[in-house]
Amino acid sequence: MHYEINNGGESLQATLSEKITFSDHDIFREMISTMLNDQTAQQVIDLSAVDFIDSAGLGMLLLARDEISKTNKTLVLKAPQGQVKRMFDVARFDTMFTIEH
Amino acid sequence: MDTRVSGQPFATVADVQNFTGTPDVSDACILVVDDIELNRLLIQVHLIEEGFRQIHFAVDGADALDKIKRLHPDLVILDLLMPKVDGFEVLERLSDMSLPHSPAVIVQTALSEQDERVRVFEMGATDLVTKPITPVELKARTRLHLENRFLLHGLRSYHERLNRDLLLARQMQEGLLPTAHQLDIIEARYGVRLQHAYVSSDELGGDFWGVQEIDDDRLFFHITDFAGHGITAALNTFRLHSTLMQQDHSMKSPANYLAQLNKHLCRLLNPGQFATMLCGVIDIRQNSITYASAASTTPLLGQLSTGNIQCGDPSGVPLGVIEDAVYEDRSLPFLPGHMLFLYSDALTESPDKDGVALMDEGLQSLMTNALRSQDGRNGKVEFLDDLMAAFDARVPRPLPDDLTAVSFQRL
Repeated sequence: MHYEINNGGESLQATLSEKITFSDHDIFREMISTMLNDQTAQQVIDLSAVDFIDSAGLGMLLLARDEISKTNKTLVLKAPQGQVKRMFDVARFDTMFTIEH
Repeated sequence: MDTRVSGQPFATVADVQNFTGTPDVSDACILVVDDIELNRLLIQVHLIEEGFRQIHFAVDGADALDKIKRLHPDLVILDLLMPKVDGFEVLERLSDMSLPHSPAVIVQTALSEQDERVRVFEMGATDLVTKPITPVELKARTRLHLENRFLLHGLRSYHERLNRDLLLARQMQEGLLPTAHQLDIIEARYGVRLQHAYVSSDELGGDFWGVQEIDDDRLFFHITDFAGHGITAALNTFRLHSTLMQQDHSMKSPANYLAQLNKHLCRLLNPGQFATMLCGVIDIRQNSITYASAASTTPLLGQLSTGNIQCGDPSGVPLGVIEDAVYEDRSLPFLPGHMLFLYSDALTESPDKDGVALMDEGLQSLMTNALRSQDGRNGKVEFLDDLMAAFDARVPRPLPDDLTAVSFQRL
């Protein structure tokens, strides 16, 4: 997994790419802590360039949801594609996250 | 053999500290090999000054080889030119000895002999000290190589112990699964034949499955996978297993069962941890399966003779994430000739040698082939063996995660 964080003023966007799997735990945590330290109200995780996520990856997103819910910020998951979208459907992520298609 | 490893069966915090800090090497066993007594004594004085306590001597190469075998030194300080067996031969014989922990070897050599220096390294020497010996250089190199060796040993024994622990934990985990005897009883009572396969990865997995008899017509089953793998996931399987043992399996609704279990796991699990689960009831009087899923893999129902496959619906909120999650009861037919197939995600997500995973579509075509190659009429089919053989031919080891697969064949 790779990520890039851009502050667009009204929202902070983390753009992820490649795969999100078990071995990305550390880099994902690092990304979350950067996001938590930023005061922008809306935080977006853009998944449009992610082509694969496993169950550990879903767990990391749930962790992000938990961490951000403790603040006054909101989290949006943006544009899941292909396998990622299918995993979101199976795990009913629409009931837990704001997902922007 | 290695006195620095304690006899405890489990890896301890001290083990970790042992290889992260600088190890104490003062008790290292050092063998000084030199045919000239004065040289041996000089080296001994330097080593004692440096705090080393276990210093042994050999007077020539033959004596050195003998003492290496008996004393298992950590480090040998070796002279090259000696009567009978010289230093070169010691190096050569040492590499043939294949000792479990071969010593580090520091060779004493003259600065001018460039060819000789190259040759001793090629023959397996760890380092050189130049003659005449400078105390500072001798002490520094001795300490450096002993510390490296001790760090490496500490790390190696920590790994070995961790591997033993993991193996034990895996055996305990396998103990959670139904026994062959239980499966025989189920086959006789319900006319449902269960086969299962398990492929371990490098790490402990978080998946397990189970069955339980409810009454003459109904059989409860589940397949569960904790997110991620490793020790946390494995520990969670034990936690959930003990919860499952306390639950009432006679319920009418698998969806309610999942909802209850979910509430329980929400209290138990840390953020980011969750389980996927598919559970259900096979009813042989109704010829049906009622199931509910919490983000499990797609349940597949195959027909033995035709190879046709019907996909179930695996969608549902994972267990342990939101307390008021609601699940849905769904059903599939289950008539003689039907094969229900459940599996952990390692089956569809493990990459083949080109990095491509089977995914749902690929698995379904493997399953169709495996179903078609069976003789559906005589009952004793080897569906799961065939399917796993096809998977094995495609996906290299080790798998990124443990794999569990279970088939339920209605006879």
